[in-house]
Amino acid sequence: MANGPPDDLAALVAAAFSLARGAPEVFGGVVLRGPFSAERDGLVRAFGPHRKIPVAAEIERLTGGLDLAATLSAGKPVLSSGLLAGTSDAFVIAGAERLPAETAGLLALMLDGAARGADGAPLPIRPLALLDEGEGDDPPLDPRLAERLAFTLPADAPAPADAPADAPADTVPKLPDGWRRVEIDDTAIAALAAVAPTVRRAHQAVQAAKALAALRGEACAQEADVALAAVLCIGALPPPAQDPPPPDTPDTPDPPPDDAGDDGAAAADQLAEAVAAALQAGLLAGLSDGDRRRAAAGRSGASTQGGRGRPAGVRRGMPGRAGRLALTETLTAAAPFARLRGAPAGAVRVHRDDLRIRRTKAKAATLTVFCVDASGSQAFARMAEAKGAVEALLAEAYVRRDTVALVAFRNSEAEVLLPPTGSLTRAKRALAILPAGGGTPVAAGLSAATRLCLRARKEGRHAGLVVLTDGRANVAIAGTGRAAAMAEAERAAKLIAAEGIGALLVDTGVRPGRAAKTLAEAMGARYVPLGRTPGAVAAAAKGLSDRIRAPA
Amino acid sequence: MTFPFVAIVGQDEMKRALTAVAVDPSIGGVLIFGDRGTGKSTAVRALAAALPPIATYDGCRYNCDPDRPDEVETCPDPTKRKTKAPLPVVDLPLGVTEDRVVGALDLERALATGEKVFEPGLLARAHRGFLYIDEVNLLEDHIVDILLDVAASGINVVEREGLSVRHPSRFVLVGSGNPEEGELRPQLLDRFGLAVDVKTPTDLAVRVEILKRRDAYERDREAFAEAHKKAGEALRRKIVAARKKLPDVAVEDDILGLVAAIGLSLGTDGARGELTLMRTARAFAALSGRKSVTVADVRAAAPLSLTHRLRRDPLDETGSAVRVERALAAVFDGERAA
Repeated sequence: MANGPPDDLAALVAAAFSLARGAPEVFGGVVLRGPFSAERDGLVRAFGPHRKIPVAAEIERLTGGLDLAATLSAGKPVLSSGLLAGTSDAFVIAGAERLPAETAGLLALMLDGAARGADGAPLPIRPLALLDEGEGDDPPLDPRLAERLAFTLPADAPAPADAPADAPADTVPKLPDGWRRVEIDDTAIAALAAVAPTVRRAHQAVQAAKALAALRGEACAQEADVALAAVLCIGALPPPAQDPPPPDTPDTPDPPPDDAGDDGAAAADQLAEAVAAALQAGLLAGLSDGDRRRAAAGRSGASTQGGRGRPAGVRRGMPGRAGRLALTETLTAAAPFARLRGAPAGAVRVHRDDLRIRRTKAKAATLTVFCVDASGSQAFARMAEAKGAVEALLAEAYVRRDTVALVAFRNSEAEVLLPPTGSLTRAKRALAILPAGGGTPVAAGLSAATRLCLRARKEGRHAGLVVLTDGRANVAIAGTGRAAAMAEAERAAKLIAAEGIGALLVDTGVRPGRAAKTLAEAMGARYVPLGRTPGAVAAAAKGLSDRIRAPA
Repeated sequence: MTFPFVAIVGQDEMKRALTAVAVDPSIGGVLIFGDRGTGKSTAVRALAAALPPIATYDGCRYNCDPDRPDEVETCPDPTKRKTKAPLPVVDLPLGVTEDRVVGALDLERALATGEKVFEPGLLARAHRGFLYIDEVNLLEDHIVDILLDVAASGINVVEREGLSVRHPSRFVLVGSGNPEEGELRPQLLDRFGLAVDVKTPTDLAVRVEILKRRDAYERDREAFAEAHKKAGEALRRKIVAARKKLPDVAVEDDILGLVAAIGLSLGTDGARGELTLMRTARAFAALSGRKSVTVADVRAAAPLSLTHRLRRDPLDETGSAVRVERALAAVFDGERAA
């Protein structure tokens, strides 16, 4: 695989496209993951005829509705048919990781065959190609779509050999009509059931094996079809230009339990091994995908789009993203000028300037990031107290439906133990496994926490930071050295002050001291020594979240 | 063609809860907690397809019931030609606007003819059917408040944009959610009649059975539907018979005592839990064709109707299900000793 992209990878891509286009109600479509590139362009062309949907398209654009601009100029209602109701064969969305929750929900409903247009007619099921450009801290693809789209391919995968060079063309091999009747035996089904993360994914893999066999003109799914289906649906494809992974891949899927069946068990084992082997290459990518997917949990549609949230008055403006048309107010605005504009008696002529929209106010959510020092300098007893303080705050957040995140730093690195979430269940679990011991990389911890806060802000949420540490940094990001570590910690702290992130520093040292105080000053944080009463910390932290909710 | 309800493998609690509310919608909604891709929406759509169609007027956008004089009188779409319509299942998408839920001024008519006409929303479409919300825990609070108000009163009242409209809207609210992705407010939890947990099956044999049935369904939907037609019709008859029988199912005093004892020992807030428990037990009795509620009916209904109502210490690790089981064991042991 080291010598250029192999043909079979291109063949796999072609197969995935065939399946997605041939049976979108089963396979949903494809996710092309990776940044924009010429290769990705080629893949999108090879995907075949499609219509592009802008990631920020309004729901009305998708489902159809009244076209206000056209209506006004024509003087009579002009209905626009939504993109999803149109005749397009497939839809492509770039930057799909930024899809608003409601658009993603609509697309998921469309794939289920349960979406309806503005006129109440069911929307047809069409395959999607989602271009996921997210990396690192970016939000993951909406979990509902990630779960429904069976195939995830690297965006730089080689396009099928006969792919068109310019415009999208119909070169994807057509799925034979009778593919649903291809035979597949029980051992193959059992093998796929054993390795798939969810029942839906297992179903897709079983159907994919049948479809792959049909593409080869077979009437019965062979072992190779099953293995390929597993790679396509359950593991991500291996990146094109990379050596095969080392043989000692630590994570292999569990073999099916022994009680799988009586005589079929051995055969199922064998097939499961074949599938596992086929999976090995892509498995790690698949797992990290799972991680990113899990991180999606807790995103609570923090967007503040027009038309959502509680009504908050009327103002002049074009209807759409900003808000829905306020008809009465619009007509009231136009009425005085009816004569002047030459409207017939009893009628009004509405100009663009008359348009009024109803504003809505969605509640901006609050994120509190806990940055906890889990190093050796924090005795376990102190750790317990810190956990107590965090829990008390969590209970508070639960009542208010705020979100929390948890960053822990120890040894040489900081780890986001809990991505922003409103789920108490997850938060408690993350706290329970909070590891402790090792060095104190304060700078790394603060930087990670700052990143979370800034990202939350970008999403329109208020963010605040609670740091629990004794401030005695001894691990620098670039290596060790107490002095360098302290200097770095101070720089990271100053960045927090510069960004204006509301912060609270709880000194968890046995003897509260200068190190933590200096750090608190640098980040412009309130300083609270962890006294004998953890309640004091909780109260102070509550004060902080009050403050970030209502910034002065 | 929807996947037949009777062909769904496992998930007995969910099926039982949905069947109970189909018999007696006054039990309230069903909240289905659980992993993605466990067939929650499939089950709801399948049950609706398994239920008898509703009688209504042709072209009525409010699903008015010709057999209810109050609805006939106020029906805004009086076409007076009776028809049968499939039981509605309305999906409430996340991020839906208030306009679409409650209905709004029909802009098209207003602009074209200057008429002030109400355009009914999803609450009208869901009348006498199911309103399904995927990920109810992510729905915006103010929409949830509207839904709960209407679900409780059975009437949608619209006062906006110079419109003044009231129309009936009685529906079974089915919400699904994953507690890992955001908590449900306690007030919201309590408003759902029943709650069930569904899990991705971990037993390989069960998974294989699910996959084989789904495959048979993909292979030939008509043949699959045909194969399950008898069982589906039997279920439909059972539900229809249970609906008829329901008003006559007796709840003896000792059963009422048992229900009260369970409520007491769990310390549930308010009487809603006990009321739901009693109604659910009655629906179970009616489904079994019995004339009175038995201790076994109460036992089966208790976890469904109480688990989500326990006053919860947000930091208490003990699961509510465990506490309900413990309380039930205590109460039922006492029952036997007496």
